Amino acid sequence: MAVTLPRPVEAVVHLAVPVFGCLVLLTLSALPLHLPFWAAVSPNLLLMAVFYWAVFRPDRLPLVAIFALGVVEDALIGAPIGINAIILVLTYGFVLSQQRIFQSATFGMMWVAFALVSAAASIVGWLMISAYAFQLLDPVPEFFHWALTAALYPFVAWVLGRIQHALMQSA
Amino acid sequence: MRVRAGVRERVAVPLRVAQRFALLFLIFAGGALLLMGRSGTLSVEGFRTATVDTFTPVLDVLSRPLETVANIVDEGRDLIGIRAENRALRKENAALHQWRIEARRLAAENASYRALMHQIPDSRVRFVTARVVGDTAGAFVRSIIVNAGTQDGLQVGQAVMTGAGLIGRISTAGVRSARVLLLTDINSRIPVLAEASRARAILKGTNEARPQLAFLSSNVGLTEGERIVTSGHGGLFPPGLAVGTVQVADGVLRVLPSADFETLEFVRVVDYAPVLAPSARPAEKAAKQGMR
Repeated sequence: MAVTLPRPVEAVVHLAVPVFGCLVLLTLSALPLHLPFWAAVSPNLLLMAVFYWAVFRPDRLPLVAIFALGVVEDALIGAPIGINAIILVLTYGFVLSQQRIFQSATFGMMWVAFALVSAAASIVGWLMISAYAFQLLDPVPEFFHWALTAALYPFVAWVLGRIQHALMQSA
Repeated sequence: MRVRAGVRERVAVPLRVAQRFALLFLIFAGGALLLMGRSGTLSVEGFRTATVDTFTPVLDVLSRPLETVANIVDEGRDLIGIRAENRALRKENAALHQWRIEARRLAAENASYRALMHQIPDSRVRFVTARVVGDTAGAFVRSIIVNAGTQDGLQVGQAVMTGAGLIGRISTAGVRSARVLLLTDINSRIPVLAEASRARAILKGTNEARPQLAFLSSNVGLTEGERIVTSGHGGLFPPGLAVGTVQVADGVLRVLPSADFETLEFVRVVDYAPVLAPSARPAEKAAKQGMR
C-alpha cells in the first residue's frame, strides 16, 4: 500500500499532506448538500482532522498552520474571524498536553476522547459566539452539530489513516 | 496491535516551553482578531471576500454533482405524486385565470390614477440569477455563498430571493462570488410591513428557523397568518417583496419565511436603484444598512 517516492518529493509530500487534507475537508464542509437542516448541523470536518494529526503526527501540522486554517475557516463560513482559530489551537494544545494518554489509547478510546474534546470545543465556541453577539444563543443546533461531528469521526479518521499509511509511512 | 504500532511510529513531541508560548500567543492573537473585528477597527471584509473568491471555483465544480443527485431524488419523489398534483394544478390554474383578469383590470386602473396624480414612478428593478455553491458549516452563522459577484452587478446590501420569497441580503461581494446573509441569521435586520394591517416592524434573525418581529409600530390588528412583505424603508430593498407569514409562538411574534431554506439551488439578486434624497450618498446608506 505504501508508495515509494523520490526523497525530495517525499519531503514536500510529508509537509503538504496534512495541511492540504485539512483544506480539502474545509471545502467539503462548505458544500451545499440539499438536505433538510444540513447547514445548521453539518459536521466540523476540520476539527476532526486537526485532532487526528495532533494525536498521530503533530510534527507534520505546526501550530501556526492550524491557526491559519482556523482563520480561513472563519472567513469562508462567515463566522467572526478568530473564533475557529482559537478553538482549533486550544484543541491542538490540549491533545498535545495529553500525548501520553493518547499514545496508548485504542481506537474506541480515541473516539470517546474525540467526542469529549469536540464537546468542549462546541461549548467554548457557543460561549464565545454568545459573548460576541451579546446574547445567549439557542444551544440546540450546536448540540446536533457536535453529535454529528462526534458520530462521523471514525470515518474521517479511517480515511486520514489510509492517507497517512500510503503517503507518510516512511517518515 | 502490530498495525496500530505502525500507524503510531511517531516523533513524540512534548509540549515544550517555546510551544506553550506559541500557543498562548496564538490564542491572544485570535482574541485580538475577534475584538478588532467586533469593534470594527480592523477591516476584515477584504480578507473574507478574497477567501470566498478563492474557494468559489472549487465549490462551484464540486456542488454540481451534489445538485444532480438532489434533482434525481426530487424527480423521483415528484413522479409518485404527479397525478394528484396535476389535478390540484388544474384547479389552481382555473382560479388564477380569474386573478389574471382582475390584475389586468387593476393595472389599468392604477395606471390611470398615476397619470391623474402625476406620481413619480418607482425605480426600475433588475434581477441577477446566481447558483448557490456554498452552505455555511456550523451552528453559528446562517449564510450561503453564490457564484456571482461585482462583475455581474452585485453589490453589498441587495435583496436576495427565491421564487417564493426573500431569503436575505448580500453581506460581502467579491469579484465572482458573494455571501448572502440569510434573514434567519442573528445579525440580520430587515424593515418589514404587515400586508393587511400595515404595521411596520424590524425582522430580526435569531439563528432559528423563524425570525422575530421586533420594534413593532403597533400590533393592533396584526393577525396570525398575515403576510409580511419588505417595507422598502432604508432604501436598499424594493418594497413589497414577499417575506413570510406571521406566527405566534410562546407569546413571541415570529415569521415563517415563504422561501424554503433547505433546498436553495438558484437565487435571484434584486438590483434595485432606490430613489435617494439629494443629500444621501449611497455609500453612507450602505454603511448604515450594514450597521443594523
